[in-house]
Amino acid sequence: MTSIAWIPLICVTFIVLGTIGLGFYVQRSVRSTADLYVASRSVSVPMNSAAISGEYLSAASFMGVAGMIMKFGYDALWYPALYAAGYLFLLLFIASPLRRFGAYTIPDFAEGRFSSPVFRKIAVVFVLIIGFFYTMPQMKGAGVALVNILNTPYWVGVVLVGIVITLNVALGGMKGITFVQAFQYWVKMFAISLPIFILISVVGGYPGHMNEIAKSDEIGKPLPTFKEDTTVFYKPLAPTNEITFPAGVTATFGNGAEVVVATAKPTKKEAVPVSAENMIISGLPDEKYSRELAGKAQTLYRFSAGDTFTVSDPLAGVGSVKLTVFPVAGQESVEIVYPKGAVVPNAPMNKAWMEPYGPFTNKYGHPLLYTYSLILALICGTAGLPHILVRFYTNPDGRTAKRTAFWVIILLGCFYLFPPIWGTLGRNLVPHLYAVTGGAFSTDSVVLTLPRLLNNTVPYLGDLLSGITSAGAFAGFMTTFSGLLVSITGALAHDIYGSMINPKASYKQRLNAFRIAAVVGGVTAIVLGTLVENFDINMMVGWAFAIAAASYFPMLIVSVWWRGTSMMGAAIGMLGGGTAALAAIVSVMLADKMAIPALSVYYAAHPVMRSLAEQPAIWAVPLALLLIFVVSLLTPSGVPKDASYKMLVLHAPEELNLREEYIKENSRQTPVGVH
Amino acid sequence: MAKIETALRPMGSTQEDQKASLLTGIHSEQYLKLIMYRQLRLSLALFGVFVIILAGLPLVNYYLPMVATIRIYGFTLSWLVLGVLFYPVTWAVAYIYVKRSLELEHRIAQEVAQSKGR
Repeated sequence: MTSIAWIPLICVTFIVLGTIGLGFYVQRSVRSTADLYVASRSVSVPMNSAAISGEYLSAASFMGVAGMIMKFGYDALWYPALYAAGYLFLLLFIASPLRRFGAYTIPDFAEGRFSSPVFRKIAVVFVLIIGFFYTMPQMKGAGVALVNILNTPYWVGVVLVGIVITLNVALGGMKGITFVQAFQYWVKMFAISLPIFILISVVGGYPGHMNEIAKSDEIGKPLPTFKEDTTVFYKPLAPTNEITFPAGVTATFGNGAEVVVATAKPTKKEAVPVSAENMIISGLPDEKYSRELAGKAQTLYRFSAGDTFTVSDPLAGVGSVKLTVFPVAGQESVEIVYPKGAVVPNAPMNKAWMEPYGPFTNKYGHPLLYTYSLILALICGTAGLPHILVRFYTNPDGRTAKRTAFWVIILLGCFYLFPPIWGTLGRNLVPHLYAVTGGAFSTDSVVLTLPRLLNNTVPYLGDLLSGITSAGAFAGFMTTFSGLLVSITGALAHDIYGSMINPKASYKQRLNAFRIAAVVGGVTAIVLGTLVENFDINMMVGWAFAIAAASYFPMLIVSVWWRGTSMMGAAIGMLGGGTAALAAIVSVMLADKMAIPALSVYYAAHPVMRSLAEQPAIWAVPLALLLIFVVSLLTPSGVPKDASYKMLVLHAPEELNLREEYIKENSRQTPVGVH
Repeated sequence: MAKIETALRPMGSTQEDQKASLLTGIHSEQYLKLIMYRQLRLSLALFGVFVIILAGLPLVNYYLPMVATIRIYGFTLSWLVLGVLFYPVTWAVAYIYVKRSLELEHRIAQEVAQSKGR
């Protein structure tokens, strides 16, 4: 795409201006610190449940889940189901006790529960780590979406969205964004559902498309094919430039390429290596040279512009072939031209796509282990995300906290019914998105690309619907980013400035601190966002969830339900679990980017270790819990003396009137504004 | 932390004495264990539904693929369960939990009120 997509641009401008406008409108009624942090605890159930859902449905949910289901099929269904189930877990065990305790932020809770200012510092560090990790994929989403609409450089989207949200948060705080986020939940719900209903009325329904995938498998066309002649661009970055071709595919290099040829599955050591001649049966170019790539000497074959190639003979048993392509000198990317009807590379077979334990969970050969670890990470991770937890404090009391969590589950469930439909229709209708992994034109963009098909039915209808989904995607980055920024700002202004540096700050000073912290947090997030263009959105979301699951979740569940938790126990468990999960994930990242060749070799040789490091929840969560139990039993003096009182505040019904706000400064001095 | 203890004092002033005597009762260890146990039992019972689904579905998919891949309107059974039917189950469990737990809290409050009357 080289020109500006006008209709989507208008839709996105509308949503961005609407967000700024609402923020300014609500900002006029902000009068107290409590307004900024917890919206004066006066948010109604429908408003707050829509706001929590709006905050939760990030870029990953809006674009990433549909894209992953299109890419991997059944296995990716776990993501939306567990995002919703994670909330239920939060409702059953954590939501209302946490609310009854009454605090502004999770570090407040940590300090209050264990009577320990040191614990506040540890908790703040994790709010910042998880917060910044989770803002990076949102920023990446914003940058990628603007590439699709405006054809701008990646950083423009990051900076634009970052500035809008930072101003919004700095001016309106929690009160401003509560209203905006409730509004944006409905924007996202509308944007994911309406286009799909219109698409279905034209191209046929969900069961029909499933049936088509099931049937075409029986006839023996197990893979999607290009609907028309298609040119695909490959930038020289892993994993974008790695293409897996099933046997027998023919395509043409449009502008030439330098190519590394390998089998898709790593060959066993003792097996005879397959020769390059058997992998490219159309004949290899004469020109070749050797180059060191990621610590290994590789042979690169230089194809000229217009060279047509055919990969392995389906009857020879070589199987799929992986080509790693690099542009020839003077070109920015490799162009490959696929004829209409050719099989799309990288796509999983229909059967593997539809049935469990396909290319996602079975990639290292231990699908059950991988699936269970994913389940644990997503459920416990949801229950430990600080920007979601802090929202429960905006409820007037624990009763409304429960009712809110119930409505959040309804709202999220309704939303998550739709991404699998997008993924299924995408597989049948826009299979060319499989041809490139990662980047702005991969399966991640299915919700933006699919509606454009309708341009053939009614002029501009496709553009309009694509505009609506673009606006929904923008609502996704903006709401999640603002929620994260409020919790990051809360950590900086309330936990660090208000509680550690200057506890006697006046209302005016606190308000200024909040605004300065919002700008500092926003600018940091923008800078980080511009650095992560080459990381995968889902990988980054996975980091944030696994770290939250292994740090906050064990600390919260134990401090809510076990009286004997000692300060040392909770702190060491949280630190130990969180850092172990972080270390495992970073080691996988370093191995993938070939930064430490020895590590890459080790993980390639030990698939069990690789699964455990990539999905660390299955061992990191129990490790954190075990550390908490053992250390608590060893340090009984660290159990707060008034632990029973605190447990009573957490669990006694509010009708007994035992509860009062943990921190009440300023919240009563000024009458609460409109909402 | 001092703030917590002050926060724990009941609000209101007319029945200060009555409430003080009530507080010594409900601050007892036994009472705390009882309300925690009753709330935890409710949560665990409902969470059991999810343990069965989340622990069981991967096992069914793995060991009984012929059940998991039964076709219903083009969907596999397993897809229908995880991609569609799972959400109404979460709604039902959440509804039952909120209803039961609010009832439970009301009951606990009434019991305390009764013991105070004695």
